[in-house]
Amino acid sequence: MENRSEPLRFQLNAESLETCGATGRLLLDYLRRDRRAVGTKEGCREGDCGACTVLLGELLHEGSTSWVRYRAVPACMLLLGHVRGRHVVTIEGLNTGETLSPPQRAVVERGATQCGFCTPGFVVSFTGYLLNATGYDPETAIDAIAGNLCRCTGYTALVQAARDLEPEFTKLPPPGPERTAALVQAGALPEYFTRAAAELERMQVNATQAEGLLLAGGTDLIVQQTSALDSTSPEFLLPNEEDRVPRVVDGRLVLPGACTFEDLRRSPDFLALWPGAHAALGRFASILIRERASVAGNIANASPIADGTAIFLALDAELELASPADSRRIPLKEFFLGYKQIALKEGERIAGLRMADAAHLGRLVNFEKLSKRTQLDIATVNSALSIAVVDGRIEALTLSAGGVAPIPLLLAETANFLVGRPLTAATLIEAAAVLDGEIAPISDVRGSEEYKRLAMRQLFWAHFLELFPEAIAAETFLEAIS
Amino acid sequence: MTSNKTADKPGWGARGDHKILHHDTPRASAPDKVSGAALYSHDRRVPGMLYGRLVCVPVACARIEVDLAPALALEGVLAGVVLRDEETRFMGQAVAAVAAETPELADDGARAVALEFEELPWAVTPEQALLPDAPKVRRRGNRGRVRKIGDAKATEDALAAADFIMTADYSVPVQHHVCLEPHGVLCDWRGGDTATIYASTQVAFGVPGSAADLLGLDEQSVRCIVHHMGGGFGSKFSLDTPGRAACLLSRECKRPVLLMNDRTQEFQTGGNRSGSIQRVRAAANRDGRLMALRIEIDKIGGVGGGAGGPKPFHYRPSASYFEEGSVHTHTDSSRAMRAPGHPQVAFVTESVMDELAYGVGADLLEFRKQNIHSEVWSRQLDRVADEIGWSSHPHRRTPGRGDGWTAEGIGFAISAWGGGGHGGGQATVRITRSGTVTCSIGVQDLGTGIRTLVAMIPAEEFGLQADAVEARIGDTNLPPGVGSGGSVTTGSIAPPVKVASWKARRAFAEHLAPLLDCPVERVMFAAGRVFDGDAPKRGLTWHEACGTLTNEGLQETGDWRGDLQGSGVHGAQAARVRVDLMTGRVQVLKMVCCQDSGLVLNPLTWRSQVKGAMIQGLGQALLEERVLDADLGIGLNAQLQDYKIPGCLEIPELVALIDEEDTREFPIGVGEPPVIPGPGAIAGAVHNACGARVRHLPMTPDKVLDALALLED
Repeated sequence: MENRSEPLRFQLNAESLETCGATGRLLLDYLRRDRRAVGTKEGCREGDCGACTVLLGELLHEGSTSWVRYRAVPACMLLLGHVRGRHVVTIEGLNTGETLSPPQRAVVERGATQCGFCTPGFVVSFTGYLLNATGYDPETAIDAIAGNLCRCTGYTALVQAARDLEPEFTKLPPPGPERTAALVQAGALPEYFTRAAAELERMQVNATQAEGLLLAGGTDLIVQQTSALDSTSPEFLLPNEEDRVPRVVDGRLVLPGACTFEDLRRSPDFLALWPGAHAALGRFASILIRERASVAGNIANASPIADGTAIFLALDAELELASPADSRRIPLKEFFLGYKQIALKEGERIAGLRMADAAHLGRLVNFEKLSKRTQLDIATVNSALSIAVVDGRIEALTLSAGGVAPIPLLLAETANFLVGRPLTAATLIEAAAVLDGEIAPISDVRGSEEYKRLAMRQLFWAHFLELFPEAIAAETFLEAIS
Repeated sequence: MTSNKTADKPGWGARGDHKILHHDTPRASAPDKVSGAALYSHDRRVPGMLYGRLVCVPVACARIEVDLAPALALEGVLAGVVLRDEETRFMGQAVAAVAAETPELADDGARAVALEFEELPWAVTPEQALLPDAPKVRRRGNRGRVRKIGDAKATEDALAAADFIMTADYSVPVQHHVCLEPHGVLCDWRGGDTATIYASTQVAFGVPGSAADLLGLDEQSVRCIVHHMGGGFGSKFSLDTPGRAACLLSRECKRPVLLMNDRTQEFQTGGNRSGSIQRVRAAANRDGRLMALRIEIDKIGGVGGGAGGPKPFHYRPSASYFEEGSVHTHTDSSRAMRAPGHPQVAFVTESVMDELAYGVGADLLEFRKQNIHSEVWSRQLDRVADEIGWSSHPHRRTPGRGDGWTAEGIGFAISAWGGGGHGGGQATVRITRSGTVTCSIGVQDLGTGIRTLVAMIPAEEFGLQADAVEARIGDTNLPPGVGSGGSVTTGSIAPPVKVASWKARRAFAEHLAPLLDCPVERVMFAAGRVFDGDAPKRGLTWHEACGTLTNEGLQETGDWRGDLQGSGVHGAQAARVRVDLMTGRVQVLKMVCCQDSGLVLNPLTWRSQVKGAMIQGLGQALLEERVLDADLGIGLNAQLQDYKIPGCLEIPELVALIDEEDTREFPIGVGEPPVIPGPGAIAGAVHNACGARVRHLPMTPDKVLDALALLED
């Protein structure tokens, strides 16, 4: 443990804090043990239950005003160093005093708590939604609590609680300082939230002077190597959200490696490239995970069933690999050498991804996934497609497939077969046979080889039914397989 | 106006008269839970507390040697105990534990324990356990004694004579409880004469005896506190391994020790519902009569025996015969889990009912009613059928096929349970001069809402609001409660609370009658006032009335009475699903439950219990399964990432209907029964939608596609 010259300063609920402890500690442990913020529950330490959800606030400057933007994140997927110069809000910090906040009141009145162990996490997630939602919509409010597990109630009362809040919050200013003030006014946040920006402003010198290792995602690393990180000396810093968002540069969309899946889902440039992204990314993982999981991590993990990798492969993405000495670019498809083997050299990191922007891609994009649980589960198989069709003929196409080989697979033969052919069901039925020859799934915990072959064929066809419902007679597929 | 209840014994009264009971009442604990103030075992901290960790064996079966010395040599590791030597019989079995100043040091200590093990041959699956040369899980072998129930000969004859006979194998895998709070305790013993155990338990009063034995104290000197606990579902009935280890470590170093399972230990050793393999032959006649049911059942309870359910289930075949036995494997013993054994039997029986109905061309609903011989179940089935839209459903006698892409279907299932309480509980109601009312009984609240009832019942009696009564529970220093299992809590706790409240009201009325200048029979308690029933304007506010008490106030104690509760509940459920025929995905669109349980004391918490059970049934139907690697003998999904339970995106429209035609004027427990029908109803709906009969839970997309493929062959 290194004794840093710059103590760690951050705000916890209404308090400004300074600590010199190990910054590689799990935020969850720090909160529960050192700060006795035990309303933050420990249910799994793997980001899957949501019982430790906290709000993490980051100072933003917009013109002459500054404000704090909050995201709901699991405290078991953050290190203490990550909160430097930031505002951490636990359930205790959401208590407004004598009266309950509207989310708390809705949960009480609807009877949406039983054993209550998961309840603080739900309240924090609800509050995160109130801070961030573009407009109050009970359906998206439900998405905001989808990363919180409850084993007792059956969720309907929680969903009802989300619906109850609608009339109260239909008319909120857009997310920003006025939204925060309005929520304070409505009793949804304690009064100290209006002072948080000024508090963080005072800490900014401390935050910018800090030196350390930027650790953007780490959703696997932090879960699996908690004690190793705890005793590591470099301080881990969290990149600012503004440094994580995708940007268009010279006709290319550039994703910083630190870009999280929720950053991606919020990016107008990425949504322009792939309008279906908002819904599809919503199925990748819960919002709690999406706020923490980075695109570089999804790629570096080299999982054959990584949802993000499947998409980036289909978008013909290029990786920017940086080392202290220099940097290089390689096509993503050349990055995977074998099962969990990647082309990253010692000292290199994934600095970013580059791909054509919406104006230059000229293709339609689709993603399909099959998993045991429909929502927020690890894929059994997945597939992504980008395609250009001109006058009924396939002009260009890139197709990826996950869960059917030791690496995330680019289906080059299938693509070769398809390019230049007319877009008809007959073509696709023939192509399915080529695809079947190109994949090599194994039987494992997520399904048998046979099943994965069958599922991949269905996903392949599903791309076209989704993108070209007018052009493809769906019944032809049914005839072909019956 | 509250009736004066002048009867000479306590009763619940007519349900129409209730002001508090039988009305939605928010949980007494809810404000603490939504604000993070509710403290669970794993939140407790006391001075000098150490953190304990278990050392678990990483293989299915091993001969072991444990040496604590390397761990104890570490600075900050203050105690170590061996929990098991010689042999282990399942993956994750705890063999030792250490306690240290911090959790990190405890982790280091656990890693430092020298665990030498020689892996022994194992059998983790029933198939492996039944091989001729399989290693023995139990000394007597891997097959337990087979129980034979019914008339084998008559059943064979009935099978032979019937119009339609079916033969099929079914299986239900091992399911986990997945309590959000892991198992564990804080044992606060510092070397003195007394100890306090903060336990995440379903039986607070069971803890002091076990802990006292381990600590070398008298049972009376050990107190157990369970103000809040994060779910049990049957898995938290004893001090358990973490609790035992915490006590032993505490005894070793005379300091408090907190020891909680981590999530993987929860999956490996924190409890499971036994699996079941069932080989069925059954028959029906074209007139819709269920003629014969013959099932051979292997219960898969790991090193334990597993749970059986009612045999025959609730339908009445002309003849039936069952052979039921356990197959032992090198896996953690199953435990009680919400309606032990019942969902397994229900899934298979309801599936058989569907297959037979289709076989003889009967309507699924009518076939059930015809063979159930029960007006209660028949009306409940009709009610759920109405609500799910059965009469306008196109596939009532033969399964549908769908439109090529998707298919919709409906399924039904029923359940029964006891739910009666038992004696042993005792409640004290105290009214003070300043007007406060407390009701004390040491029972724990698992989240079912018993704390709220402990306040509601006196509130009803005194004409107060529920939040005017303070419920004190979850502490063995209070009057005794009972264990919470088998849906007995309401039936065991509501009666003593009622008796104590009734006695306190009667004593208070006797005290107030001279002051109101009316006979005691006319003293009324309502709307926060006490008054002469014949002259309602003549009276006192509650606080004025209490002000006439002495400084001692008024206190009464009540014991259990059998006539204040009852037993025997019935329920029916229907499910509507959509099957994606291309991918095998099943989406449950709607589930309906109609359930009787006598007088429903708090409909708000009742609905929560019923819907929570329904969604657990959905999880068992579609998602939940312990997966073992038969080649390596290890579990493959001992984390929440891979063992998925339903989240709020999976929930269908859930409708929980109180069967209002049940006019019994006493409460009956309802925790278990609504978990029983889900898998049967959902499997029936999948079959009804598209003809695919999935006989092995959970009905994951691959199994649905397999079943669809069989139809094409």
